[in-house]
Amino acid sequence: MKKGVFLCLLLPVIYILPAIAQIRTLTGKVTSDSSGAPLPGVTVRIKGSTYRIATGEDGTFSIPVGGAQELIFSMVGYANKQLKADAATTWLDVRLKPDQSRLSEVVVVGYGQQTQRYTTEAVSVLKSDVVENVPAITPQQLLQGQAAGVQMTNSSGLLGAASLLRIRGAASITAGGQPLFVVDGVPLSDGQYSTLYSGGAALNPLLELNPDDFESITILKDAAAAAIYGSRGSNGVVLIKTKRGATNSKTKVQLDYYTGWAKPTNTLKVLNADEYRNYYNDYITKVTGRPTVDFPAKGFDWADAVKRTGKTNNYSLSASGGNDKTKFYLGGSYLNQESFVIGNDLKKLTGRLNLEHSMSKRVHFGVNFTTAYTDMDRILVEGDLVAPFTAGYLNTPFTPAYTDDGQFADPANNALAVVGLNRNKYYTRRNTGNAYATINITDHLWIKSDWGIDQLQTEERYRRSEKITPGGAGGRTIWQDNKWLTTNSLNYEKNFTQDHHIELLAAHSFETARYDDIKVSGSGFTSDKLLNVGSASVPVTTSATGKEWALESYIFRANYRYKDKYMAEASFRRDGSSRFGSNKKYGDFWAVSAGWVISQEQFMRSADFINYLKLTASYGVTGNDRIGYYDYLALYTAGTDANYAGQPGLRPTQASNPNLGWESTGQLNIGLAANALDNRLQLNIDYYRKNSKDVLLYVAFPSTTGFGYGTKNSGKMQNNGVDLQITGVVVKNKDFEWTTSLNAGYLKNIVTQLPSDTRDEEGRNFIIGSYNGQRAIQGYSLNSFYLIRYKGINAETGDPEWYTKDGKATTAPTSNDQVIAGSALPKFTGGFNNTFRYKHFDLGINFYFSTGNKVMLSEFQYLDNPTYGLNVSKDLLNYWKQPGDKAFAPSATSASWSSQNNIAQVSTAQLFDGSYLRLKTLTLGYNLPAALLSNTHVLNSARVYVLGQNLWTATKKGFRGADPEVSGYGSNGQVAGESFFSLPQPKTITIGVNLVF
Amino acid sequence: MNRHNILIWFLAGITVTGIFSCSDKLDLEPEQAISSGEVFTSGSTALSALYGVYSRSQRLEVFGGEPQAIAEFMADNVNYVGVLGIKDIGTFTTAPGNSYVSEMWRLHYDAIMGANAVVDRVPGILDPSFSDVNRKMYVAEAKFMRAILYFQLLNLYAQPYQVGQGAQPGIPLVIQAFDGTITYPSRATVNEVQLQIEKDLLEALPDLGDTFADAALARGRATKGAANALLSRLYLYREEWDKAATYAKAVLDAPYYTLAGNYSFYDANSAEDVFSIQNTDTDNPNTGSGSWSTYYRPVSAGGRGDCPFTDELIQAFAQEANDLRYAMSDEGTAANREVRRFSLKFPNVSTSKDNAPLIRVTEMYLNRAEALATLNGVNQESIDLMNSLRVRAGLAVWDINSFASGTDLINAILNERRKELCFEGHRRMDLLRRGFSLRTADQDKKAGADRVILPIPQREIDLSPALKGHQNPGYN
Repeated sequence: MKKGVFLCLLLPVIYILPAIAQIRTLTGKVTSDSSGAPLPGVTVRIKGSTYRIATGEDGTFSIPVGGAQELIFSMVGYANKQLKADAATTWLDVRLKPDQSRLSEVVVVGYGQQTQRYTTEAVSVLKSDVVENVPAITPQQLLQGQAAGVQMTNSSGLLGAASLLRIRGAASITAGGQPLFVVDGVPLSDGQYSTLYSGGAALNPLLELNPDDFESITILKDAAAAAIYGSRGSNGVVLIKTKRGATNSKTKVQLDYYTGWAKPTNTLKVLNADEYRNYYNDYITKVTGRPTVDFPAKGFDWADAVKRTGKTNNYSLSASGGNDKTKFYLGGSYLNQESFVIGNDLKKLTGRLNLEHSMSKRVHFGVNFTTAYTDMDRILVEGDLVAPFTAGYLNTPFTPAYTDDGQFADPANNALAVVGLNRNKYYTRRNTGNAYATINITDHLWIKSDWGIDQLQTEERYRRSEKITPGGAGGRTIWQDNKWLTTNSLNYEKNFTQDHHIELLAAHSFETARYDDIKVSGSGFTSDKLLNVGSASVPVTTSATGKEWALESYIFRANYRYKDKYMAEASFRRDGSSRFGSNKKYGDFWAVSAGWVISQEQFMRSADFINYLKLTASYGVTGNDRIGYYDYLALYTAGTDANYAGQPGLRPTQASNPNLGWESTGQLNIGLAANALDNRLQLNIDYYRKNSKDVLLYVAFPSTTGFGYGTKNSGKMQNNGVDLQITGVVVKNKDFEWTTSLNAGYLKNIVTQLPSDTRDEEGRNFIIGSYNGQRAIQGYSLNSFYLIRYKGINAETGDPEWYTKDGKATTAPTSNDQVIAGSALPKFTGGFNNTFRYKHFDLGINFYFSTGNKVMLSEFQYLDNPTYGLNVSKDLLNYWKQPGDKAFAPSATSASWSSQNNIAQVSTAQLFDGSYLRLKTLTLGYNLPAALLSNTHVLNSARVYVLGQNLWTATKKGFRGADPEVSGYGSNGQVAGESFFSLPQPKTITIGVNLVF
Repeated sequence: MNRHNILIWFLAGITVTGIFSCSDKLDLEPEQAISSGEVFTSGSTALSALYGVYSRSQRLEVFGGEPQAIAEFMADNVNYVGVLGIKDIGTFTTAPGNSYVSEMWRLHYDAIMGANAVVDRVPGILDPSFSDVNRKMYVAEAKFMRAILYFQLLNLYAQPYQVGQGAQPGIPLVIQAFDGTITYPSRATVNEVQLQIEKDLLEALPDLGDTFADAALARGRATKGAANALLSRLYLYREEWDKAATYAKAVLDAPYYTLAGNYSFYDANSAEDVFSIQNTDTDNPNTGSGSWSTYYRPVSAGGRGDCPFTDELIQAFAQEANDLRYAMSDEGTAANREVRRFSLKFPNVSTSKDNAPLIRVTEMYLNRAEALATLNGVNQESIDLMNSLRVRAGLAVWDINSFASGTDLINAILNERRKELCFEGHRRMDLLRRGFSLRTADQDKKAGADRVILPIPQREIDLSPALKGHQNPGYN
């Protein structure tokens, strides 16, 4: 407003200007350097003066000038340009180059790229700076709190574990619900390879990537963005683009190193030796009727023995550069991580080469290739009572760890012995890459042929010691999942009569992957030093299996833009998949979208505090094909499970379902993007409504069918939400800069239809998710908890009480008293990020929050039950002794202990508010001054930093768990927010250095 | 690059695209399975489908040790001292949601439905080389398997015949193959299920083989002897004493079965075995959670030490010194870290290859002796039959004057039955059918009492409207 007043005062001055100098009218035209399109609304002013005008619809301007002047041209999304006009100049042709601000950034989209300014797709883009230097257990973790509408939950603090990632809620129920990850155009395989010994080693599809190689991560959120991935777009798509070199540039060498230490964020509180001794003799004896025990003077601290200070070392070295024809990026990294849990280690070695060459003006080709090797020491999953952390909590302080002569006591049930004596290795080897060529047929038409591979081999080797399994046992399993694909496309891009911009894409893609496994195991070893199955006397397993899938696709997209103001896009994909029967082999997916850059309109000129305003709307349909390879066939399966007495057998494993087809999701998105106050305030807000239908359900059948489960297309689900992102540059000057940003996603999930095969007491259809009361209920959330409600200990009787359905207290609740007690889905998730730069220092503070969700901590079904002979929660010390006591635990003589209705039974007693606010990362960095660096003659830039992760977490009052961030079942979408001794997230401190040569 | 070259490139691109747009690449078939339609087309694949039924019965939850261990620790032979999971079955506090309870149920029907498919579809196979004898035999074997599976399932989830003469609710009875349409059968009565078992066995009897040349198949596949033996047990449980004695005699008279001279017959496929599910080093019930040996062997021997002897069982053996059957045990560390006594009947911890001794000829001695004693009071044949077992056990023989009454003799036979068959899964039903409590210290755990049977799994009640409101009393 001030500016306006100022201009008003100046107006009289301008009127008299022609009178005091020899005034002429300078005219000209401003066009875009990239497209050649005329640019309306460009501010033109004379240097040293405050007089300004704007270009018209056709990009032309006319401004009165006197003598030789310097003119400044400025516009959002373009770099400012200064031009000298000597006294004779009357016409200027001005070409503005797009600047590097966010609006003009090129974003990677499916099968191409677009500028942020003109895209009609809802995407979130993360740049390399948010993913670098963070010691992440999983690269998915990098997305946490960085993009609105992206909900990321670490499943466990276990190294290499998969995580639960949801983009705008879940579109699928039992079918795979993880987003599709695409690296440089290659969709990654993301199968789950379950292992016998260490449970479900759900492989993290991003484990073998080095985040330091990432240039950007684009999250495709709406149908306009994702429909181009057709049958795999329903659950969102994450596109990763890796770094490349720059033409005609000096070779840049970068070395990054960090080292760090980790501890669990928090642990559960169980009884120590003195507490247990007294509690046993005062309480447990009364509950169980066992005699008192004269425990030894000293106990063993199991919780302490199973943890350690974790360590991380990461070395990453890269070189990039290029000449006029060739550019390259070469990267390598080595990571060595030791978890805070004994026995869990991860080593990772990666290498990458990205190369691009221009053979001529018309022919370009390139290759992106990465190879990786990981070597993990795994531990038993938390569900196993001999898993380190689980045993650490459940072993009583008087469970002996060592015998008097220093040997492991009771090795088979001793977590320390299992970690110390057994070997449990897991290796992965992965090669991912693509080679491509583009040929420009004309200036506007080109073809591209792209060939990609993703070859994954994982190997499990285990060897159980003879001290744990008599005779010892060993095994090795190799899984291979080898994919190749080819995409051939025809592309067209042209401006017509300056106002019309058209882009067209037509492509054909074929993708196929073959999975193979080889398993051997044996028992009866004469020595623990003999590591391999070949030394076993009894061969137990010899097996090899294989399976294959294929997907053929036809892909089309058209973009049209009028006067850089009105945009429209349409895309279509037809997918044929081997996973569906002949009735449903092909599926069609499509999207339409439109955008309007309102700030380009004449009527917006006056609102000059708004720099940019865009409204977009889209609707489209995407699909999901992630079910088993042959789920539509009625099958009899051969193999060990069918063989008998050395004879080959066949057993029915699957009922026929010829109509099994795609699940599809229609999504509406309305988005508004605005930049204001000299682009210092940026706002993005998107509303979406996702309707999924024909949802693939792995439903339970009555056992009397002979099939426990089967896959069906039956189910509807709706996700409504709002994604909000606000970024503000609060302060920006030479020495000090403060940027703050908030991103938040609101999500409401409702399962609108389920098969009527299973109904609850109130007649609502549902699907069981877990034995802990989690289920999808029609009319409610996909992850509803259906439980009896725990009331507490009756102060008069000392007995635990629950609520009946109608709210009365009872000591004997029945399954009829279950109610919907909450949802595991958070209502709001998001991040609050601040970066400060003061002179050479930088400070980053990132928070992540999740609210409105419940978590089921089933460890308390054990830790709150003293009848098991295991250690118990410290809270049990607060037990009822006399009438009037407000106790946590019932009286020792409570009849509840001899019935199923005790406080440890599944109920809301184990259900907690899972809302939390967490300081995800706190970074303090120092950039060495340029003056200092130039003295070295080798270093171009150097930064040292300290980074803390998960340093502080706030949870709701009454939360008893170790960590509110739990998803004990990894990427299984039907079970969220559950824990059974899930490893807490690590609290880490790392120090690191980034050097550029 | 001139225009001509570009055209060539362009055509090449189109060609490449064309090569791969063949949709037959999308017709992929499984490599470890064949479609149902192809299974019942030949004699050999039909036999494989029959082996599949036996194979599913190997499961831990079927004849792999779990229901049998439950039958012992719900009764008074075994203390369950392991942690969690099925422990609450032993304390009569389990809930319908217990996953062990529902998996046992599910996997019995899994095997039963496999048998139903063989019964239904083998007669229609159009394979000229498939002999009529084999065709009938496969169907008969499937009927036997269906019978023995229903028999065990009924015993676990329904009150014994003695409660209301079989009029109590039993379990859903399905005898047709699954045709793709889900049905919701309600609980048949105990009588209806037992009469179906009887019908299947009687129908199977003429078509079953006498024996097989291969020892593993002779003991591991259903034979006439197996059907006779199961009929004997069925009639014993139904108190049809005459028939129980008659069918036991049919087994004793068959040339294929003789009482073993000592106790080395476990897992040996000798003439002692009438029907035993075959396990090998590479094909056994160990699904990661256990087998006969993991329950019954102590931690110190590599088992889990869940199921040691009860003091009562030790006392039962202690009444007469030097019982050779008691010698088949040792001491070791139990799951709760106490030193306890464990059975040596199932020693193969490392691979779980112990066969499941479902029917032994010894049981026919016991069945006939008990049936005759019930019918005739103190009688010489019962005593002779029992003496065969007592001599083998190294104990003094009985004579006709050893017993004051028929009841004394019956109780003595039941006591011998306990010591012979302990750990093999008979004890619970032997107590219930004779009106004894499962626990000496708790006389309320008799047939007809709540919770001496398992709850109908919550999973099934949720899935089937026909089961809603039909939970066993005592469970909610």
